[in-house]
Amino acid sequence: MDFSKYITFEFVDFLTDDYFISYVINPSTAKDQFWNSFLNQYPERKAIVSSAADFIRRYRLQDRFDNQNQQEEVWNRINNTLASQAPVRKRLFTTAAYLRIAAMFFLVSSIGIGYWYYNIPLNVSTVYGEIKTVELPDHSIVTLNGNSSISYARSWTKGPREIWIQGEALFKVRHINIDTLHILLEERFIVHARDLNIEVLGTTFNVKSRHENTKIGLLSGKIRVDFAKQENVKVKSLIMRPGDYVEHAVSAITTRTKLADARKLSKWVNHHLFFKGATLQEISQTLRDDYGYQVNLGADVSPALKIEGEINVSSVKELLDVISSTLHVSVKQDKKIITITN
Amino acid sequence: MSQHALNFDAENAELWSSFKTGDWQAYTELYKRHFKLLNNYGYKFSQDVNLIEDAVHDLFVKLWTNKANLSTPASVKNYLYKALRGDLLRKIETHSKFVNLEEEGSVPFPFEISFDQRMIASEEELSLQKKIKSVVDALPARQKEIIYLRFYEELSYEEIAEIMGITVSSSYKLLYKGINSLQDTLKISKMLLLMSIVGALRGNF
Repeated sequence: MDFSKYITFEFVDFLTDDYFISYVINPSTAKDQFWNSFLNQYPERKAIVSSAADFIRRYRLQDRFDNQNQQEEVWNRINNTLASQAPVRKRLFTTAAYLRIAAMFFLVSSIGIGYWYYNIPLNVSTVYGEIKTVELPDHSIVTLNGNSSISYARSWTKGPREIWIQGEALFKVRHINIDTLHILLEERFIVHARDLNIEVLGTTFNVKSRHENTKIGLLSGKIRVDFAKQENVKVKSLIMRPGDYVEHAVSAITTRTKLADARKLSKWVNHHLFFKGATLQEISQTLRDDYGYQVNLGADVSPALKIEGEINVSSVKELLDVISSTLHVSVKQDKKIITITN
Repeated sequence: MSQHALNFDAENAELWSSFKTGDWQAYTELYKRHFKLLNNYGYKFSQDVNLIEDAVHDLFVKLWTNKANLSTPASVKNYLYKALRGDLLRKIETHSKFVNLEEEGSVPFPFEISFDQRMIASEEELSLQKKIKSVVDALPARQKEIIYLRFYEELSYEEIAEIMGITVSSSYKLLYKGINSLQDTLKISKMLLLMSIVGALRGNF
């Protein structure tokens, strides 16, 4: 190891040396070895090296302002501004090898289907606690739960009817096929949720796609669930019938059950909150995801606490009352912060 | 650059090319990945949160509106930083009560870091951080900014030059100037002595 240049280094020199800076900011075994050796051989340089390293490290401890609690609001402003801008008259036709995002830090490349489409998708999103109903270009109806968003082409004239979702929505899809045995491309209706494609023929179903998980419950009709990634060919398509309910996480179907009453999945449409045998964890999650509440549990309150039976209420306040009386806990609400203690 | 930073950039590149073709999800993702970073950088120039939010809003609206005509930057993050910086400085100037009589390129603007929120372990730590803030605050804004971009954002001279709108050789000169000033001030404040004591006490550095 060649230390010659560092022997006469002053404070300034260390702070402008790439290798030294990289050692302080991104240490590694090799870098550690180098600098420890240097100091063992030249202990009189310790003071100056420490000062330089200390300066950088302390400098980096400065405050961070991330304004995270405004992220949603600024996003809504952006959406509104874009929505109010006059639509672009010019048509941009492109053959797209479509790249979609399946997760925060994970990209799924699509099948190379080239098709023409209008280059300006419509996007609808809801803020926490908001429920919005939208009519799609084919007159199908989608109802969005809070903190959710959908994206779809302005016009469905070519290719299948497609829609992308993040969050939760209830779909009521119109039958438009004439012959059930020979369904044309433009008669198909496909919902993309993370790395699943849900294909429907005319039906009512609920999709909840949050975090790493997608949950689908079919109320009426018939749907087919496929993985978007074609490599998973070994997994057969899943056909769902009314009452069927599946949960999908990462790359596998984790749950398949038959629900006694699938309509309960879509109670949220009327601002109703419905839970069955739910733990505090699950309830907190829904309050967070759909309504934007921050739920703090006291040290002696376990998230695994379960409320047996059904909860069917029409407001968050009622829900908190139920939790409080059933689990014998104290529930305090201060604006968007809910605290549950023993 | 750390591996994490390299991955971040690679993912951004994919998202950027998707977004340019009109992929709304990719656009949303770019917003989510950069909102906090942009706010943090913007806050150094102005603590008027509404102004920063306006700048972020305008930036993203412009991005979507002009997506078809955008180039493909080497680093999406640096591109966004540069765009935000430019717009924010313009907004600050417009809001400023004072008429700018200085020549182009030497517009006075603020740049400030702070150490208020840290959970301070000891009195000694507190006083050292105070010292750092005061020696850094004594520098002209551009030197403060370049020190921030180099030591906090870990950017190269080329990237810094791009963001600040100066030549690469100017960025070298500017950083040297800043650090030389620091060395002078630190010697005067005897901070060097203080830090070396701390270093020796801890037995490592």
